[in-house]
Amino acid sequence: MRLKHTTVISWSSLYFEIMLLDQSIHQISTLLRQKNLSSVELVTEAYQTIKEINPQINAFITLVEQNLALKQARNVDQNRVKFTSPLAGIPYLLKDSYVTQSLRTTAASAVLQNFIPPYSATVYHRLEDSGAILIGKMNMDAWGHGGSTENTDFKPTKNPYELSRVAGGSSGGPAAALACRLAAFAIGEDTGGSIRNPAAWTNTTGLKVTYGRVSRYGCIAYASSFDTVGPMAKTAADCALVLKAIAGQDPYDATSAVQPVPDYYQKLTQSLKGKTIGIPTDLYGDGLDEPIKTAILKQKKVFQALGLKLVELKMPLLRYGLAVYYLIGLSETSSNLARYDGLRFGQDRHFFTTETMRRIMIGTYALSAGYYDAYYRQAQKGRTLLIREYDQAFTHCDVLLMPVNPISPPKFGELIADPLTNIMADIYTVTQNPVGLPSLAVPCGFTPNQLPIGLQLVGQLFAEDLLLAIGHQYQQVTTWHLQKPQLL
Amino acid sequence: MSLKKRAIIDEKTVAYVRQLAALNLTPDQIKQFAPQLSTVLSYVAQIQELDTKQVPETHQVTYQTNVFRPDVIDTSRCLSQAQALENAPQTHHGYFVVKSIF
Repeated sequence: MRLKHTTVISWSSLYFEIMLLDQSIHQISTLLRQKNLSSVELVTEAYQTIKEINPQINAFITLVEQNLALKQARNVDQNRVKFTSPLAGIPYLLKDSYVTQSLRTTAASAVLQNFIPPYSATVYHRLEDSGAILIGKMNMDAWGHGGSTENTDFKPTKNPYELSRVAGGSSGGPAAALACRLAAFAIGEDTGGSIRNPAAWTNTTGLKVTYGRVSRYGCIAYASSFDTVGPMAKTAADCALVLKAIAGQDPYDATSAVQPVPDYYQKLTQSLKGKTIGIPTDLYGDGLDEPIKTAILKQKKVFQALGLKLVELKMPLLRYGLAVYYLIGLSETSSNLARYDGLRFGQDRHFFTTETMRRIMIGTYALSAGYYDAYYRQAQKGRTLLIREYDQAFTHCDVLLMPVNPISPPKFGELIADPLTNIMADIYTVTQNPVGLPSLAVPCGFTPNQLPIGLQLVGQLFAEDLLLAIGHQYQQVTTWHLQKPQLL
Repeated sequence: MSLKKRAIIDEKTVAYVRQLAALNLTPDQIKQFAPQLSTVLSYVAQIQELDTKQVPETHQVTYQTNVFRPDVIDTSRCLSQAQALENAPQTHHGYFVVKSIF
């Protein structure tokens, strides 16, 4: 199998010159269907790369036994006609926040370090039914509490672009693994940027879906009214194929959306003529690193060339987004994590990390008598104002162009050492979750130090098809997403 | 960042909230948490600048009301007693063992 690459990287070894997993899911799926490639070959390559690369980046918490994955691969190879999904036979990863029956699930916390779930998440069931092959449960900030995968009890994940830097978080494990082509796609979880932040810092693509678009059943809860389940991959087109497989109403999650699931892949090529991108200029001021600002604003021309119109606007209320997010999110997490008593499953509460204890304490305080009105209730009202701010913005445009991270991936210890700095890193990704809006993060450049930069396109509720179409057409005319870390 | 409404969390408050949250903090952690929680709460206190007099609260964004399901048992998602107990550190004759609360 030989492929032409538009970018040339200084390859460290001949073996990695051409990787099967460099290809898109559509390409791989076509080759599998034509029997020009077997799932066994794909899975074998994934495990070989994992063996070489994972010790350097620590992306996995639990690696599925290779024999089990190969057995599944052989089954798909032998029964190709039975599996109609484009994901059949394709190796994938789950953030370790999804319960999988008989396979250890930890949420990256020592509290659950020996937890073997007695049931499986809906997203896992759907992917199993499609014939996709799970090869690992991935590292993350414990319970989703963080933006750097340093708040894990399984040692931090390293950024493949520079091993002394964080991979982002909380879905840092899956993002770093995809950057290194250890699988074709992953399922992340986004409560306040946990898919988008690591995607942007690892030069991968990630979609935070509309609240309820994908069932949360079996997803270990961080903040139940913010949590979303979404795809992470190399491209928007890959995310479209994965989203089609996992989206839709689920009787086991009463908050899952009843809206029909469109064929996101088919809609990738929809015309963008007449669509407008809004640029909230107040998000491009103080606090945003210059190289990131420059890289994102340079893309305006690319979007115009795709037929999109641009309009500048202001969204001043978004500066209260962090406060709204933290008060509600931490209140909800203090309630959700109250169930971990070490009696029915898991270890007791002193196994929580310091960061998690801090978050539980803040949430408990915000909900406690005497402070509830000033903090929690006021934040719920602030949430209404955020919804109105976005509604107002969408009267001028169809999607919003925003930064993902204010800074490049920091070195280890820089974020986790200071609780407030840690919070500020989430500033651009926390305002969408209280409103429920979808947002797609795509690579859009590199800093002078060769660290990845991402941008995000925020859409109206259930506008995933438009976000993915813009992302896809953008990736047809740019090559950032094709670049790989020199580690390979 | 507005620190106008500075929230001061002293060690006594940390000790009280710790109890509400059922966390066993060491005296060192209580000391460490007091200034850290003060910093974070002072930051989020900027929420009080918002004029919300006529603003209703938003609790969820599913935009759905009254989601019902048939009142029938779905046995496919029921755990057996053995499954429910299999992760428990201590069991006794089919029960979870808990500390005495008296």
